[in-house]
Amino acid sequence: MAYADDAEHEELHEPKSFWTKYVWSQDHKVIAIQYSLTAIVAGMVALTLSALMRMQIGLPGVIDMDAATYYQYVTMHGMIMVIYLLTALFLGGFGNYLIPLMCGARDMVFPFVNMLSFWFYLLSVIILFASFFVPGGPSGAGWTLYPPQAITEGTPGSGWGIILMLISLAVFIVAATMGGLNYVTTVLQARTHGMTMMRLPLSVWGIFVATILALLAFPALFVSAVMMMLDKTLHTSFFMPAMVSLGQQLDYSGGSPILFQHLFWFFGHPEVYIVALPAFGIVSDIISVHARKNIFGYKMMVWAIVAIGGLSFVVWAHHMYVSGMNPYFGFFFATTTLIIAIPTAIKVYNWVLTLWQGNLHLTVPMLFAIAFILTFVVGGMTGLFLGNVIVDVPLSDTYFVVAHFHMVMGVAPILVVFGAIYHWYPKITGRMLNDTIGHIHFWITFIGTYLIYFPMHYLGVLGMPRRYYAYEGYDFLPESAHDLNVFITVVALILGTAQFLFIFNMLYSYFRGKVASPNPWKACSLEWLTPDTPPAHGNWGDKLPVVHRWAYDYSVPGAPDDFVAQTVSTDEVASESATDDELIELEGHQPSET
Amino acid sequence: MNEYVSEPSLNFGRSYSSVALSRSGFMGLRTEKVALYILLAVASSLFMLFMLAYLIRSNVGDWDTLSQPWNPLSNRSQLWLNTSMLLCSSISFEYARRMVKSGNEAGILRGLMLAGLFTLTFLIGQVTVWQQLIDQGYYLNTNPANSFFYVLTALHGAHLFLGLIFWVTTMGRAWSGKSPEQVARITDMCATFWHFLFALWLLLFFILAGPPETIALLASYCDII
Repeated sequence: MAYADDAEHEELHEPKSFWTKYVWSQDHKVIAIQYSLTAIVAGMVALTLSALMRMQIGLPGVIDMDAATYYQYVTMHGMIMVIYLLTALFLGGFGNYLIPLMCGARDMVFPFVNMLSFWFYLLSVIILFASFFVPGGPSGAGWTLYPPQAITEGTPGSGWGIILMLISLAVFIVAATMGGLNYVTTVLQARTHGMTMMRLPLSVWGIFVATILALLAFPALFVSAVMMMLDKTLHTSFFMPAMVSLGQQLDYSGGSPILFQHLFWFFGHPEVYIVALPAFGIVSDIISVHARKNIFGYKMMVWAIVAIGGLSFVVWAHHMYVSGMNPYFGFFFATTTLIIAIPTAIKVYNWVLTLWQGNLHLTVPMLFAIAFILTFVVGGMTGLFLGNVIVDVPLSDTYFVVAHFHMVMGVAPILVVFGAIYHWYPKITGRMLNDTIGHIHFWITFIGTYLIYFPMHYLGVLGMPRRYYAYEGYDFLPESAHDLNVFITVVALILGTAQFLFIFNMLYSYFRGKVASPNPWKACSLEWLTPDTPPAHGNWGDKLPVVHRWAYDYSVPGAPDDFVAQTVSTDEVASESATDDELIELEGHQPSET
Repeated sequence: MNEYVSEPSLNFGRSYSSVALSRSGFMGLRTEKVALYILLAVASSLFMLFMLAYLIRSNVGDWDTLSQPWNPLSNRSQLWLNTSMLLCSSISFEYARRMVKSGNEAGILRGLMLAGLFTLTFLIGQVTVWQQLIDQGYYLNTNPANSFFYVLTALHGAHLFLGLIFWVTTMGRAWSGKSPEQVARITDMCATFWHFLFALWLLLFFILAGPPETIALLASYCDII
């Protein structure tokens, strides 16, 4: 590999000052931490907003919230969680940290652009949060920002709020594109000796394909943001139809709100998989390591990721069944939506088969990974309901939908985020997270989310509409629905508060945690084999690692340890192992054909 | 061996000029070329979605294609002139790229200079078209067809403008004779970028100011609203 040869001969330029090392850093590991911390702070804000919203729904009167504020919180909660937390954390955080280490590269291929990516991201977050402080407050249009209401007077934040939201999204897209350019190019170009694409850990595959989706799908959001901005500020009529608002004829005519919805969801559906695919990859790695077993059907897993990525571009209109569309369109999109169940089910089966007869270590990351599989199956099953037009129409705009997407897109990826942080924290900081706090955090989070979202399915089937800021005085809602709302709110508040355990654990362990060995989980992949923990600038010593096998050689019969690292050649294992018969087993350089 | 074909090491980052950029990674392409192709894919997605939005929106009754006989772009002479300018800049970059291969320093400088001048002429020509539209009362928000025209030409122009930033730095280097590898590599990248933007412009030209009946026919296939 030319990359590795070149990288070994090029001189390393160690950043010297505090500023170039920790602030204007071009080191992918520092950028990853900058991205992650920013995303977590944004996520904590969004979590607080959700707690306030739940207070309003379950315990009305305890806090003084009007409808406008409620909608602003809904909007900001959704937007922050989907874009500024999950997308940023999986791609900017984990992508940045893991890709160069797992590929065996010294860094991303364009470190300067990588640094810019973070600063643009931070700028987008600042712009978004600034909208809390402008006249009229942040946009209250719902995270989908549908026109005409998003930019029409009467909607909260239809002035500066929506303008800042659109600018922030545009800046975020620039950041994501600069980052994405690095992630894809690094995977394609900067793999070390012997690291073929089909030897890459599935985390890299998931992030790689998700980044390609992001690069191709974010332009749709960019296009719609630009056009909506012009509709708002210069009174073009891309999306705005002729309408009378507050007794006034507006100077718009002929624009199509449905066109916005098509553009938005052409971005919005791949966005689901931009978040899900990295989670799929990471969970595969965590399960394999902690079950001490090779991932079942590696090649199938890779192709399932690619297939899901491809299919995600042809399902967008299933978000628009009630917007009005040609019935044949509905049929087409229902069919493609249900087809996605096939590669997804393949992945779930393969995870289960990886666990099957494995030597399961129920560590905290493993618990989160298993919880993810359960949650993803639950959320995926309700997706089968909603994917069918005829079932979706009555359930649309009820809490069933809220329950579905929070299970599949909220809880499931967040469980992976937690699992991944518990898994890689020792490499990132050199210390272990506290195990007891970890277990408490896991059980509260896992059980808590089910207590919150399971009842919401029931509320949805009961017909409880979503997007209402108060539920008093509706005859069709029985008293029990209100009781359930109180229950959900109480659990949500406990769950939200419990997340401080996790924050505390991260801070406490950083200073006082048990010092971690370089490879505490005895994993095979390259990031655990760095000469320093945490890895130094340039990641590897003078020589880049040489890869001889895939990342999943656990419990190989005949091997001296229960794992064979990617850098170990067959000869090296053979010299230490027992009999010739067992050597046959050690030829496992390539993923098996299962 | 001429100095322009010596091996590159792209100095994209300050602290890390050392992240060696592989010459034979994905499909034997240089790293920066791979990155360029990825960027072109992103730009293609952006413009494709914009053009689809144009066709979809044009199905609404208030639409008035700018190339209709009663509208200004029924006379396309200025746009054709601009198109020829962009074609010339694309050709000039190709010329500079070939001069790089043969190591002809004067030729490189000539090609680069012409390419930049033609590009600037194209951009001025585009602004002229805008001015003509404004003079005749075809403002951004008078009709959605106008809105799309302004937005798409502006976006296309912005891409050229970004390219010109690289062009300026390359011109400076080619002029002073410093870092010939940089000149070679950026010229190569610019040539590819300009060819892309020229092809894109042909598509935009066709869709924004092509025969109204053809556009209406295409639009009818995209009538999903």
